[in-house]
Parts: sequence; C-alpha cells; structure tokens
Amino acid sequence: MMRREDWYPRLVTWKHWEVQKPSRESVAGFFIVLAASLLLHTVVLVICRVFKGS
Amino acid sequence: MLMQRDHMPAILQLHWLDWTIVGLYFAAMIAIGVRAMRKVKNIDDYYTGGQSFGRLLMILYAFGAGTHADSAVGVTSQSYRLGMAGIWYQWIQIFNTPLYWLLSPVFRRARCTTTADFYEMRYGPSLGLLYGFMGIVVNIGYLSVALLGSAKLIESLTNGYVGATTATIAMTAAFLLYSIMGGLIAAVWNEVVQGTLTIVMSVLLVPFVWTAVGGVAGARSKIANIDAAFSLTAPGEIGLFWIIAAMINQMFSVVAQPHIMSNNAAGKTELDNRIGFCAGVTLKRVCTICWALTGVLAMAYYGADTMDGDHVFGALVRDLLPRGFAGLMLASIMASVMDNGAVYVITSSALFTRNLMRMAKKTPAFETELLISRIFSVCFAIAGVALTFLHTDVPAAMRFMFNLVPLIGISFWLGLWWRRANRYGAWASFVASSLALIVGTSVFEWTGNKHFPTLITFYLACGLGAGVIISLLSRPESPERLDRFFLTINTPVGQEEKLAQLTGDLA
Repeated sequence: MMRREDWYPRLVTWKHWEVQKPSRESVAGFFIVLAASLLLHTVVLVICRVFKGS
Repeated sequence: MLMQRDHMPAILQLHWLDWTIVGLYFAAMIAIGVRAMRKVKNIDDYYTGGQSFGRLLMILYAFGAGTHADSAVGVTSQSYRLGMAGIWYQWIQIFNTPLYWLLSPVFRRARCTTTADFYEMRYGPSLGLLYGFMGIVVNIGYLSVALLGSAKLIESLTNGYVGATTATIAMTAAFLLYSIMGGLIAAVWNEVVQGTLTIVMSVLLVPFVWTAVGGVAGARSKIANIDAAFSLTAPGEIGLFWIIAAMINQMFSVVAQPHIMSNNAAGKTELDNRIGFCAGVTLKRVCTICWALTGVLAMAYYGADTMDGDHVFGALVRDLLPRGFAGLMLASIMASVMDNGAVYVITSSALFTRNLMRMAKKTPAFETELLISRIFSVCFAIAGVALTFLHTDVPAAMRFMFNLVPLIGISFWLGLWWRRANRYGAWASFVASSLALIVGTSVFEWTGNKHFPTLITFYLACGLGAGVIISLLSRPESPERLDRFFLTINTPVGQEEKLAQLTGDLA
C-alpha cells in the first residue's frame, strides 16, 4: 500500500496538519494573479490621487 | 430625484427602441433555453453541465455567477453616499483572488455534484444534511439580494413607473421558466451573454458621466469635499479594520457558496477552471472600479444626497446613455437575474434531491428527480421573493449575506487543513458562530458599517474556537475516512485508476 506521504507532499510536517505543498503551476499562477490584483489596486490609487490633485 | 428625458415618446418612461431591444434579447434567450433543454440527457448535465465548458465560457460563467445587478447598484449606491470607500463592498476580494488560484482544484478534485457532498465526504452524513439546509437558505438569501438590486434598477430606469414589486414578480417568472427548461447548460450560456453585456454597460457609463460632469476639473469644482470623496476609507464607517475583517470573512464565505462546486468543476480541465474562476473574479474587479467611479461622479452630477443611493446607477443610465441603451441595460438586468436565479435554483434543487432526499432513503429515477427538482424550484423562488421584501436597502442586504454564508464556511477550512477537525467540532463551529451572530446583532446591536468588522471578528472567533475545542475534546474521524478524503482532493481528475487503487488499499 502506498503511504500518504508518497502520494502528495505536505507543506508543513506538523502533526494533524494537511496543507499541501503547491505545484509549480500553483505557485506561478498565484504570483500572476497577485500581480494582476496589485495592478488593479494601483489603478484605483492613481484615480484617487488624480482627482484629489495631490 | 428621478429625471425624465425630454421629447421622448415613452412607454413606461422608456423609448420604443429600448423595448424593441428588450424583446429581441428575450427571443434570443428563449432560443438558448430551448436549445439547452435538448442537451440535458441526464441529471449531471442538468446540475454541472457535464464538465464540458472551455476557458472563455468558464471566465464568463465565473464573472456572471458572481456579478448581479445588486453588485453594480450596491457599489454605486455606497460610493455615491461614502465616496470611493464604497468600492470595498466588492473590492474586498482583490487580495483574496490569488488564493482562489490555489483553492480552485480542491473543488474539482473532490468529484462532488454539490457542496453538501463535500461536507459529507469529510465529516459524514450529518454535515451533508446541515449543508443541504444551509445551502438552500444561503441561495434564498442570494436570490433575494439579486432580485432587490435588479428591481431597484428597473424602478429607476423606468422613472418609477414599474415598481420594485412588479419588477420582482416579473423577473421571478422569467428565471423560473428559464431554469426549469435548460438547467445549468442554459444558465452558463446565458452568463456569456449577460456577462458581456454587464461589462460593456459598466465600462460604457464612465465616459458619459465623465463628460457630463466636466472631467477631473468639473468633479473638483462640484464635489464639496473632494479629498473625502476620493479617499479609500470613510471615517466612522469603512476603515482598515473593516477592510481586513471583511477580507478574512470573504475567505470563509467563498468556500461555502452553493454554486462554488459548479464554478470550479464545470470546466473541461483543472487549468480551465482555475483560469475561469480567477479571471472571472478579476474581471468583476475591473467593473467594480467603474461602478465606484460612477457613484462618486454622480455626486457631482446630481449633487450629494439628493436621491436614494440605490437609484443612482439606473438614473445615470436613463439620463446619460443614448436611446436604446436603457433597453440594453434592462435586458442585461433581466439576463443577470435569469441566470443567477437559474444557478441558485439549480444548485438548491441539487442539494434538495441529492442530499436531503437521500437522507430519507429515496433514490428516484432521472425523470422523477427532474420533476421533483422543478417543483422544488417554484417553492424556492417563492421563498426568495418573500425575503426580498424584508431587506431595507441593497447595501444592508449585501451585509446580511456577508454575515450569513461564513457560518458554514468555518468548518470547511478546519476540515481542509486540520485532520483533527471532526463532525462534532464542525457542528459546534456552526452553532457557536450562528449564536454569536444573533447575540451580536440583537443584544449588542452591532449593525451597519460601523460595527460590521466587530461583528465579523466576534462570530468568526466564536466559531473557530468552538470548532477547535470541541474537536479536541471528542473522538476523531476514522483514519480511513480522512485518508480517503485527503487522497481524493489531492488526486487530479483523470487519475481515477490510481485513486481507485489507493482508496481500494484503504478499504
């Protein structure tokens, strides 16, 4: 029988915790989406600054 | 203040061109519904669309399923009242979206038809039953908010000639007919049309308001306190505590939405679902910027506090966009309610027939299950309409849903990350957070924007605390159940033989 640890790696080895180690696709996608989110938030900040004139 | 356009031959305050567009739109939607009805060959086609949708469809489905008329009306309403800080009513997900990328595969890999199946797989039948009831309540809540937002918009578009009550009943009849015909296939195709229309209408309004106000210089001269209007916080209402609490709350909310399963499992591949969900949510944020800016510029156009905030978006469409656009907006709202109503009805009837009826040891044939789910749909819609009349305004209705959904979402996170979490802890987290919500709103009177973050912190802390303590004090779930659950959600769809081998080893 395959052991659980062989099937999917865990991010932390704490007892009872099941946070899986993310794949390369997960990490890359995470940062791409984060960049898009930060870009959008910057747009909002720029709009506010332009209208406030400061 | 509801204005009337000059020299307009009006039927219910809309030009004949507007009504023609509405008519054409509905003809197209009925054609889609009839076509979709022919594709429904089994119950999974009806509930999850047979996992057949591509990337673009999934983006527009995720956008459409998360975007209703109340989103535009609510953000514009709050921004008209509070300034740019009103954006947070929909902006709270902006920093959560990257986490959705990580979360999305969990739902697909769970291989469940409904979210209740997920809870049942992790915690056993009693939690499946609890989610079955709670999911239906949540859907009724979402439907009521979507109906209220849309009805307010129609009321303002027609200058009050079509009242909110009439609009609510007409929209309910439309989406019921639609969902009963075609299930999720019809709803997803409708999302594509509605999603595109919503994006176009949201973006299109900004240049018209901008020109009418006179751009940046005009806004500065007409808005009394420009610094406050373009601040991302509103003293005494929306501050840093509000924003952080609402963001954390949203993470407990998003996982417990009844349509989250079809949102993340209806695509052809895992990557299609990930891209569809995250891009759809991000697309909504682009529209959110437009809604918030529109609301603040409306302060300059109409003057601050001169009209009901819920009417601002519709009034601007009516007063500023060329003829035909009000009809397009009306069609877009109807489409939004039709597809969202359809999604709520379909996911709720799935919960009812799949999870609640199964508890009564009933396994009906496909035709019987379809008939039962369609009868249930009518009862569900009646409950949704009844709740619509209890909400005072759109932002209050949105806050009601912000508070309701996470109550069942706490046990999702405990179960996903912590093996020690068990069914007793899951029940305890739900009961404790529900009681905390009731005590917070009724006894401490934590209502409105001001007390919103305190209320969130209170019920989340109570729910998490109770979940952890009761889990530690009671018997853990069996290792077989836990291993089967974690192996399943960590095995991509398509590796069924390996999964069967692993779970077979467990058995």
